[in-house]
Amino acid sequence: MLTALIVIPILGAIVVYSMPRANAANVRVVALAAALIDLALAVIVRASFQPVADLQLVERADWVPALGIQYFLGVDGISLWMVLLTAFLTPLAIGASWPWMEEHAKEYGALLLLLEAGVIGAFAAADVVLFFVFWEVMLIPMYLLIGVLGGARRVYAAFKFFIYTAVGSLLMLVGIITLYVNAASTGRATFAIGDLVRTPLSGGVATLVFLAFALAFAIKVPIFPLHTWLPDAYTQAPITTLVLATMLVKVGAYGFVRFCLPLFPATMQANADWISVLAVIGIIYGALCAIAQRDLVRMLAYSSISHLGFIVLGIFALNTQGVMGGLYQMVSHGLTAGMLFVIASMLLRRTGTLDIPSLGGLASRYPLITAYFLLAMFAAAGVPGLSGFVGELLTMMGAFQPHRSYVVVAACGVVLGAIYLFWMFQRVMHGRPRTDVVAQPYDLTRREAWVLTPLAIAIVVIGVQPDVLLGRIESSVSASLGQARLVQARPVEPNSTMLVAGVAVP
Amino acid sequence: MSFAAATINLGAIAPTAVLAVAAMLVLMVGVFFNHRPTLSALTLVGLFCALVAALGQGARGQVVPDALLVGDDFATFFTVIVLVVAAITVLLSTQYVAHHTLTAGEYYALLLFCCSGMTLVVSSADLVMVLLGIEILSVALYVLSGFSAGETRGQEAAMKYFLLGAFSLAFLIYGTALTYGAVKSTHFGNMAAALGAGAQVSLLSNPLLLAGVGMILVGFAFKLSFAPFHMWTPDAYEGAPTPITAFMSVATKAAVFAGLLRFLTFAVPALRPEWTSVLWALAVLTMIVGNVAAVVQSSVKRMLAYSSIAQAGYILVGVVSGTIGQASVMFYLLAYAFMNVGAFAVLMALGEPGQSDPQIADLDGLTQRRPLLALAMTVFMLSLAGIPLTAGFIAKLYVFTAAVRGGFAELAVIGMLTSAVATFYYLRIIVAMYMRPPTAEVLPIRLTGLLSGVIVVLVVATIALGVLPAGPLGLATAAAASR
Repeated sequence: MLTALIVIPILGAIVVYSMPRANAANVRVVALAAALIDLALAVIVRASFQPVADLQLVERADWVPALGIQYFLGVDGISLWMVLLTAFLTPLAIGASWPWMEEHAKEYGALLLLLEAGVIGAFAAADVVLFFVFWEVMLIPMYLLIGVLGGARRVYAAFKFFIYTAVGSLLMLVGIITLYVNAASTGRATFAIGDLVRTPLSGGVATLVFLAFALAFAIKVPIFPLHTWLPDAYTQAPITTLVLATMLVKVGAYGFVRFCLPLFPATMQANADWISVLAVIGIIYGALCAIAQRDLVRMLAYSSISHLGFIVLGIFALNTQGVMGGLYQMVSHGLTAGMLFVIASMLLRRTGTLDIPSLGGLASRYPLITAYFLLAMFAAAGVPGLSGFVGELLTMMGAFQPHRSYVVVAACGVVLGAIYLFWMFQRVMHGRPRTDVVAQPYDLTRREAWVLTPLAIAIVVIGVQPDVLLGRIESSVSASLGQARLVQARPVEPNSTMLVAGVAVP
Repeated sequence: MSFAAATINLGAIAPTAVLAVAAMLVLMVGVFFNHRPTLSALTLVGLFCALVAALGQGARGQVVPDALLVGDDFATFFTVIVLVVAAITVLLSTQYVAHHTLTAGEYYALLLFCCSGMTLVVSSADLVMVLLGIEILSVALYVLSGFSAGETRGQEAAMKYFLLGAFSLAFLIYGTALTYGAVKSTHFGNMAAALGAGAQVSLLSNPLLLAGVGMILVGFAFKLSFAPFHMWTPDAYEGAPTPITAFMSVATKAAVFAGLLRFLTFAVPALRPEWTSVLWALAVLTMIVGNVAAVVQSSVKRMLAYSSIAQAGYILVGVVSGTIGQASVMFYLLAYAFMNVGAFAVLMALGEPGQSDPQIADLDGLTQRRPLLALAMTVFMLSLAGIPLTAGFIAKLYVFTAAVRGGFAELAVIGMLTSAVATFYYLRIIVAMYMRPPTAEVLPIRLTGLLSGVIVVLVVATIALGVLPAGPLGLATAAAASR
């Protein structure tokens, strides 16, 4: 099942790439069909998922027996939503890219599908080397998306993106090898995460290996000060592909939960303080930079850095609430940032510019787009009832116990977030229209509505009913933390999640 | 006085003998019947017969203590690499031979002689045999690398290669002589026995041995172009005909590495601490020098030359790791054979047949002209960079796992950091092909059916080794254990 989830986009990409270039319309349809089939499969995966903590839908086979590498896939509450979200966002990304695909349909379609396969694979891998394989493989389509289809400085941005991520992950590979050799010395030569957990590393080596993993994940998330590739990459990449690119960076945050937490619980706790400080710096710094941006996409990129800081802050709280909040925020950010990027691409198509000061008064021209924009913005700014609120609240509540003072500062980031978002909205949508370029004078098209509506529904649903997500996540997170013996160290009030939108978590 | 009947192990020498006979046959036929297709077909038949001889040796398991040659699985593994690469080289050479040689027979005969030298090295159990093999392969390569009629640059490269090659051979020969003086034998088994007898082997108290083994290592380092003995490599690679560059970058490396592995583990295992520290330093230096120098190259061939130096450094990491690393060295050389020959094969499609020396700028916008050729080059570059799902990734993973297991985690870290540098220059090729518009004056592209076929096979092999490496890995492990 999970294999099919990975293989279908790859097959789709191959079909798309081998289709004649002249027939852009069919290429788009095939790409979308592949993505939709994959989504249907992902929904089936979700439906057959049992609400228990264990890894489910496991597929396990020897891949390279000489090295103990296994083809080992499975999902638990932690990865389930990530897989589903990726499958959910891919057809939307293709749908949003529709008009841009007239010229480069094959490249868009094939690369987006390959990216989907890589990201889903990384989320579903339960063998560390298999994870690494997908982790590296998903770099290439993103690299080509930026470098081939990107803006004026695309080569620089693509290069920076690839080098940053590749360098970070190479040391992680040494870390992976060290884990394996350690496991092999106790007679269990394997890369499977569940087995590696049982042979913990000792003191100094554990710290070094943790840092190797943390560096790779921190570059990917990205954590301040390793974030500089992100604004360049996001500004230069085709905007609509960013809908899926936001999932790429989630793999980094996911890596902390999936690998660092069970493998190095003690080391993670010992290093939680300074990483949380970096997360808070990222929240504030990203927000301040976002305020200063003229370019809408660059502003959204910095706002992503700010929002991703919350995820890291939550995860490094190392308690159930914090980690759950981090995972919830990952889903929420995927939806809201994706929606904002889609809307930005629509505005670019209509006005020909994304320079915030030269836009203005779009609300009167495009009332429907404005309505969607407002919803996405409220969600991003953390207005209650929408997804962003739950994520930020949970992460901050989680972080409040170990890092009280940090949360105070992080909360300022929420205020700053409101400032840059509302100020941007005011300048873009209100006031007198300044752009006279009207490529498409009409408001939301039917295709665009099909892209935005599912995102909007998802944002509202998980905002009002967070336990749709949290219920499935909680058991896995508690199990993972319990295994790492972190729950006892930092007790959680039993009913604290009930505060969230007044809904009890089962 | 009694004579023991000499044990003649024909099985061990069979591939070498077949190749030598085939070489002479091709030479003779070439004199009377200078018809290129016939000659290349004859060469391929010779290579195939050698392959059959290598694989079909029933008597291989028989261990002969004093044999000069051993036909074990280890030898077979490397023989197969050499023969397959040679066959690919023959196929890749057709255009070059058609345009740049007067007598095809000599070219193919030299290639076969070269192979016979290589098969000799991989099965040698005696320093003199190693020397003989290296001498045969080197002399053939000197001529081949300067083979272009009326091409001064190729001749210059050949001259440089010859001078430094002769220099390195002198080191090997002198080292052998001194070692013989110290341990009274050139046979690996007897050397090990002689060294093992003295319980405490101290090199410092035995200057003869120190000088001998040191010089032998320097000779190997020259042949395998470890830094700082790598200076000849870029010039030789750049000047030689591209098919020969591909051949010597891969087959020579495989054969000489096999010889080095045998020498280290059979002849001087008693000196392991000493040679480990020497090779450790060479590996670090080679990885750094090769990768850093590759970054600043503008010629693709020179870039690949430095990249091959760097790759030799990674392979050396496997050698340093000791017994655990041997299978990883073998697998790496197999993977390297496909991806590196593949990269050169793509270059052969660009510019003058067989003589291409494109700059990186010449690859600009290649995907718009030949998308599949660009895709193939991308696969080879990603594999050389060690990106997953290609042969290069598994090879690197295996080598560095061996390093960590052998207690050389620092080598793995240095290897990974230099790999990050390597990503930079391999990516430059991809950037040029995919992200830049074609230049105004474009190189002609000559993609014959044969060349495309070879490239497709190499792409498939590179990916297959990355996706399904279990079989070859098992072979390498078994072969390493067979000795």
